[in-house]
Amino acid sequence: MHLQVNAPSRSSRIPHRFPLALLSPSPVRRAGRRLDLPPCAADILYRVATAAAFLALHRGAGIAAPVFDLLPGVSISFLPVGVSLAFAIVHGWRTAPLIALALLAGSGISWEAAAHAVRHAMVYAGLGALCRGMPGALAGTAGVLRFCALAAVGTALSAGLAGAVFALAGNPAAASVQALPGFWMGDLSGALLMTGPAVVVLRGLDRVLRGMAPPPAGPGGLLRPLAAIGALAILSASAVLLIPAMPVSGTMAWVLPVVPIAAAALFHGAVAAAWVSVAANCATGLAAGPEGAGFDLVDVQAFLLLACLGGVLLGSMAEERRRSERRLREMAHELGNLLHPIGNLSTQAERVMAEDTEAAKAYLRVVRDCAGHGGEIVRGVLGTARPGPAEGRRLGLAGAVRSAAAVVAGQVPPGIRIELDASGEDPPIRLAPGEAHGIVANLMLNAAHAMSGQGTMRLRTGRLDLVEGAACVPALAPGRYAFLSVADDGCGMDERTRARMFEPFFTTRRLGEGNGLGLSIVYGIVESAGGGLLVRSMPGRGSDITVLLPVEET
Amino acid sequence: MMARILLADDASAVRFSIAVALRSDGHEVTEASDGGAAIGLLRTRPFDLVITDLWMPVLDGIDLLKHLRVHHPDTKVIAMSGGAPERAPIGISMTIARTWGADAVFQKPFDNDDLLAEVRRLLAG
Repeated sequence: MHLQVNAPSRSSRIPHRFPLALLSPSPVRRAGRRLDLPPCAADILYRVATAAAFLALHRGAGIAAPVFDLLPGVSISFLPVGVSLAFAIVHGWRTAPLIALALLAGSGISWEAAAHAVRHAMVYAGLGALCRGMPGALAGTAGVLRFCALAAVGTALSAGLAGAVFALAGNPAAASVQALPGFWMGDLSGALLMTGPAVVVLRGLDRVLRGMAPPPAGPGGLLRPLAAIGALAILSASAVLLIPAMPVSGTMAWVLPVVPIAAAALFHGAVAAAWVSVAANCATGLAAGPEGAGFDLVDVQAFLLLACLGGVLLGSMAEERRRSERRLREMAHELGNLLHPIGNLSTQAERVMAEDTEAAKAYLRVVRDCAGHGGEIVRGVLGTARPGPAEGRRLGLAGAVRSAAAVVAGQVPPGIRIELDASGEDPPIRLAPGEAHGIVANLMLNAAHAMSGQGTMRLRTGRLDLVEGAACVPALAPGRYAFLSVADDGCGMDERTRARMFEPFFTTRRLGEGNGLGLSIVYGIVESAGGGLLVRSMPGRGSDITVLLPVEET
Repeated sequence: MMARILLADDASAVRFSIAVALRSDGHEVTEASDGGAAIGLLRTRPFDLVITDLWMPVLDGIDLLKHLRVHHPDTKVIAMSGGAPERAPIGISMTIARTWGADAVFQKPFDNDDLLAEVRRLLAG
């Protein structure tokens, strides 16, 4: 942590406790409670099951490798690369020894094999950890392109290092093979084809092991899309297998397996396109056979790589389109709920105005509140917090948090315990009226939603001094800040959710359960006040969102 | 004709505006903020008519419609909808509500006078 705390007494402990100690109880304990296991046994079960799943997936992908190894130096795809990368993306750089072990298990034990295993683990655990560290940067179509560029560099580095290992082992022929584009493209295909599907499998397993609910399926459940993707994969593979027997010329024939890839992308997203591409690649290996069946293999390899890349890009574009449609629906739902009372209550007020002024006033107050909420929606969408250059008020964050928390606590399910620690230093900050309440209410309700009705929510306020070069809160100037930390032990967020949590109308709730505006409103308020947000979250362990607001100097 | 009406919607302003209209028409209105609360109220006393939003937290209007169909088949129901779930056609809410036995469906925002006319028609029939 690059946070320096000058405050005396209890707040001096903050750098150590914050944010590490906030993430408890551990997910393993949670899973253990569910299975009635002691925490240490649940911990061992979690680790062993995770490692076993990875090794099985890596080995399974490795078994398919001979299908892809067509001629020396030409491999259509090396799927274990994607599995290793996915494992590191889901579980971080600490996976490196297991990744090395997985490769070693598939290649037999020798000094040369060990060197290759270390090379493979270093490159792909490093690359995976890098991707894990930039979740926002890997989301959407631009993110897919960025991932492809990273994978291209990583696989080229891996090929270079492999060549160096062979050269050092006195095997110049094998070293020169590494310089062939076919070898590099094989690894790159493995990364592009297998990373997405393996991330989905490993993350799904992780959720199950942590005792969390599986991710929500679409309206047709899980079975229908799986059956559709399976059918498209069979179609694509069949088209490839039939190519040698086709009367049409080679180029025309290769278009056929691409159609199911595109269909999977359009209707089921990027990962589905990758799965169908895996099937097409497997079929290519089988159709070509050890002699290559007269295919120009490097051309075929490049074609399949582009087909997969196109499919994944098309899939991510289709996903983005669906997301914006969902946002529009949320917005229409919200506006309907506001326009209905505005229209009807103003009519009602007009009708009763003459005989019952008090009732008319009460109706108009609700109309005004609805209009105010509509304004909040607009500001949430536009990403601005204040309607105009409103004069802020000098206030203490701790006091504002105390009074807002008391109000919001009534809206939090009774099974959730709220702990408020506002005993730290309370320097003055400047916020417009209602903004402190907006921050506290939205953070608390968001945390409550993540907690499924039980657990402990911890609110803490105090002072933090950011020193020069503090890397943990980007774009914040060094100086004195008041902080409010809202921590929960709920379901936490995966990196995809964390990357998009401040987007207006982004929500993990079902239609009608929340509009996805709360955190974008918090973001807007904090941004306008010259502050920043620090988010720590682990799936299954909980989240800690810390708001930093600049201290108002006298 | 005065009726006992149960009104379920999570949006308090919508609930308020409809309750005002129904009360001005002489009905007795009981409010619930989600489907679960509405089912709890249905267990305690009889209602002539239920007006429910379709998409609510905890237990939504579809669950409430299913409950009504099984346990209170004679109670008239009006469903209100403000949207459709992800990847479903926009008009799906209406179809789902009718399938589960709603006597009428309104798309928000609507005119409360139209709702009152429908309430009168259903209670008379």
